[in-house]
Amino acid sequence: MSRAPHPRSLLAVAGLSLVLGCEPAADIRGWECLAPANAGGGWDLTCRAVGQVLQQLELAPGLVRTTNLPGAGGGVAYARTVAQRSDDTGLLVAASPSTVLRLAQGQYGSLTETDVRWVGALGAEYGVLAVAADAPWQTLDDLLAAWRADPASLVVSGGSAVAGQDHMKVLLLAHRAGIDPRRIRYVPFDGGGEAMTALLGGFVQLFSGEASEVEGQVEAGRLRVLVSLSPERMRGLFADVPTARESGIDLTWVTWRGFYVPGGIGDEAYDGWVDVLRQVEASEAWEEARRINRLQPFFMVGPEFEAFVMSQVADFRAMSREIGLIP
Amino acid sequence: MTTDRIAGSVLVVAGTLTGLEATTFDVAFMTDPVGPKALPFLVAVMLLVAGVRTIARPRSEVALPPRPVALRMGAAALAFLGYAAILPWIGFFLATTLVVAALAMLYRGPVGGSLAAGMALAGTLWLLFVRILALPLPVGDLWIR
Amino acid sequence: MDSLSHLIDGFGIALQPINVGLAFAGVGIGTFVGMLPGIGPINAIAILIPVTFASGMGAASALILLVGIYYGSQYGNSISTILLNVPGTASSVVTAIDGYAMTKDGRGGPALAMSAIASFVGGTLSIFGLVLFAPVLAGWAIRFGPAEYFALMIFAFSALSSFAGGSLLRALASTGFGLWLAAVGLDPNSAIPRYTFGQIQLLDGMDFVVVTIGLFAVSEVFQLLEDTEGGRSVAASYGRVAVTMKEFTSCGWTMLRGSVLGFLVGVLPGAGGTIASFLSYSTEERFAGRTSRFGRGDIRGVAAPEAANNAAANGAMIPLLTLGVPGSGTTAVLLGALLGLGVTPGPLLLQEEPDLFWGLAASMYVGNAFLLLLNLPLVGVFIKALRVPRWVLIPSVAALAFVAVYAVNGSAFDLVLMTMFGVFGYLMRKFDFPLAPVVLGLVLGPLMEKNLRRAMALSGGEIGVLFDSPIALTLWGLAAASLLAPTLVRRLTTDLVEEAPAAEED
Repeated sequence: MSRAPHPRSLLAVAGLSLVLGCEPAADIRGWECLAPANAGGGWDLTCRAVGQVLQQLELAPGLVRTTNLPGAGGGVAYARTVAQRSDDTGLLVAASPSTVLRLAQGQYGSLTETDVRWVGALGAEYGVLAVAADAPWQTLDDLLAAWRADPASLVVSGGSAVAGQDHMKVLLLAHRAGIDPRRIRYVPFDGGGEAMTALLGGFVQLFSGEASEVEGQVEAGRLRVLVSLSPERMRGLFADVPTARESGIDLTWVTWRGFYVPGGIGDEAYDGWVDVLRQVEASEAWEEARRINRLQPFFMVGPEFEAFVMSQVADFRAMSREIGLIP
Repeated sequence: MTTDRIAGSVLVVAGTLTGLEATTFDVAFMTDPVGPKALPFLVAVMLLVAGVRTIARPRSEVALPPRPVALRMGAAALAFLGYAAILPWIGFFLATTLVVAALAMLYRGPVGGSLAAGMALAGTLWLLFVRILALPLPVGDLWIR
Repeated sequence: MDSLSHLIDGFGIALQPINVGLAFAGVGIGTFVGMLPGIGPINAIAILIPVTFASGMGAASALILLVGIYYGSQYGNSISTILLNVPGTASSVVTAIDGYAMTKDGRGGPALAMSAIASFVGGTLSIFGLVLFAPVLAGWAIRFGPAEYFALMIFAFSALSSFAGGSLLRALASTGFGLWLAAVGLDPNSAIPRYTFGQIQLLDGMDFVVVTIGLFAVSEVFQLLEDTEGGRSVAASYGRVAVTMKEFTSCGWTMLRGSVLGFLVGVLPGAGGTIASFLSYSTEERFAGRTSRFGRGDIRGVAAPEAANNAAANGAMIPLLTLGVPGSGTTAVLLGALLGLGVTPGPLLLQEEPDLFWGLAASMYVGNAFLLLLNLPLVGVFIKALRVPRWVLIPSVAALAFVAVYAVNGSAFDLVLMTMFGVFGYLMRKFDFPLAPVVLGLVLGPLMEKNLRRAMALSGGEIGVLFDSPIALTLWGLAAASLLAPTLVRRLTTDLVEEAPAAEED
């Protein structure tokens, strides 16, 4: 997985020596982690956290640079990876179900999920549905009973746009619980925090989001989480919250944090990345980084992960058709 | 009077196009009673009202810059666009040096001084943004091997 | 008085040598990166986050550093706004109007000094608010639903006539243009693209930095070229760098009102700082009456928005800490830092992490004092920058604009857009269309549209929901008053000729 000296090094030398005559950074050769969003978002944090671990474990040949390339919900980075970097063996691109969702809905133009190679995921958050502490529903069954009786009586808030992750998870839940997804009233807010504030203010009745978003309010006793969309019960604060499966609804929502790599790098390089992610997962440094980033353990690599992504694409595509979003 | 009438006409055309385009914003399923057309229609009305009134009651003539000055301004705009075109290709340092030098000369700076200013500025900004703030400025494809 | 004893404990933490050092470092970095338009502070904070994690410093110390960058950048930002007409954030666009006019008038020094003083007043007064009312105000932010937000936006737009220069009609056109820009992109409520012309880069909508840098900075490059060729000089002298007592006292009430308004609006997540600065400017413009030089270099036009946007920045700490709601790109990065430091934002934060909250509040006093001490002497230094020959200074501003715009999305496409906005901005000035309403439309338009649509979705199309709460009704009343007041005043005073020749816009 070696690369020619990055041209940036040459120019850096030129620029620096012209101005200061001082030395350039020691080793510019290395890997690049592309975060398809601005600094501070989920993809950016994934890159920075994993990049640091890769350096600590000395798995990377030198530095791991995090580059931010925002635009079109990851579409700009996806397009660039496919079009300009298709055989770059030193490039990782951060991804999550949001990437998959947009691919499923055709929002990356003509590009599809098979244009890149999906390497693996190193951690996850899990979706939750929450109600205000004084809401009449104590369990998911209570809620579903009321919801089935009158689907229009409940309004759901979420932090993502219409047809985004928070909308999709509640649509899938309703669909599997036998409620017509087209009758679900979902109101998008700017981020999970605002969506949750709308619930606290009594403007909506149900909040669809991630576990980490509701922690503070759950601790303060203002919110009640009715269901977690994890495969098994979460640990810690949410240990008492039943999963959807326990309530007889076959749905999990794993907001995994993972990567894809360019499609043209060949099997050998791909297997190399899979191996690298395995070593990261096995390290203590990653366990610590995962804790800091408030991620739950979730590990899946290689063909298993590729199959998982393809099944997510199929699910999302079917649901987007069902509600008439895509033809 | 005519310059203001031109400005008003531009507003009317823009408002009309905005409104026409907005009629195509059809949603497959209703998520809210207002829909995506409301804001664009409001914009169309605002532009049309402002445009029609401007045409009806134009103000005094706007003094356009004389030809040599306009040419210089056009050259500056071209330098900006040229920068966008060559930046990914020749990289930040060279492109910035060139565009700064070009602009400096448009502002009647001496040739040597303009080039020196361009280089110094490009180097400083590179240091500042790439080395210290870690922004990914383009290196350019020119230097690959 | 419980709060005061907590605050004293907080000073115990903030005045530890390490934390004093961190506060100083934070505000120093903040001033510096704040001068770089666009995403300076966000990147500085994002880079320092892993450093604070790795260094093992406590959460309170880390936040003192990172939050220092955040409010410090507000000071730095006004420097490039006032001297170069390059506002880096939406909340400083208003400062550009009178601030840059003062610079062109040879009064850049007093403008900068006044901006530092107003920032200090807004900053420190709002920390009082933070300390005394944080728990209460978290509740007020929660009661602000979509209908209330919509009413607030209408109120904000009613301030428009203050930016009209001479003609409301032209301000209407400018606002329309801004609202059109706001519509560009993927509509979050229906997932359909609007006015994207098939460009994938436009799906995310028009970026504020691209539009503002184009309209203000790039158009200025064209304008100055015309002025230079026409033999007009730009600024007569840069002599005075201090504020006179008369200027200071004229801004006393202005700063006070701006601080209170800024803090209250800042507590609301969203575009707090922008609304606050626009509203405080228009309020002062009306208090000042028709004889003022507002729009042409009135020092109160600098003091009002600067006091308000700094107060708003501090107010924004309340939703961030107690609700986990970030109001801007920079606070979103701070939220990530909080989570990483093991701090869970929530109503219990004040009880569970008193050291963190009160230490942070106390450090903001320390930091603001540093900022004032740092910025006042710097005025003289920065004003000298204007003596650099024109042929060096203007291209430098252009290059800074390029970097800021390119860094937004890492795409040259944005540079093309920026140039188009530059040409457009030049033509708008030429034809006397005001620029500030474009930004008002671009920034507040989405908030207005989204909240109207949310309110209607929640009520099922029942329009009455917009007038349902006391808060909403109050805001509607304020909006009506704001719209009617100038007309009434005009009727009562003189017979102002309609469509009077407009004042110099820049």
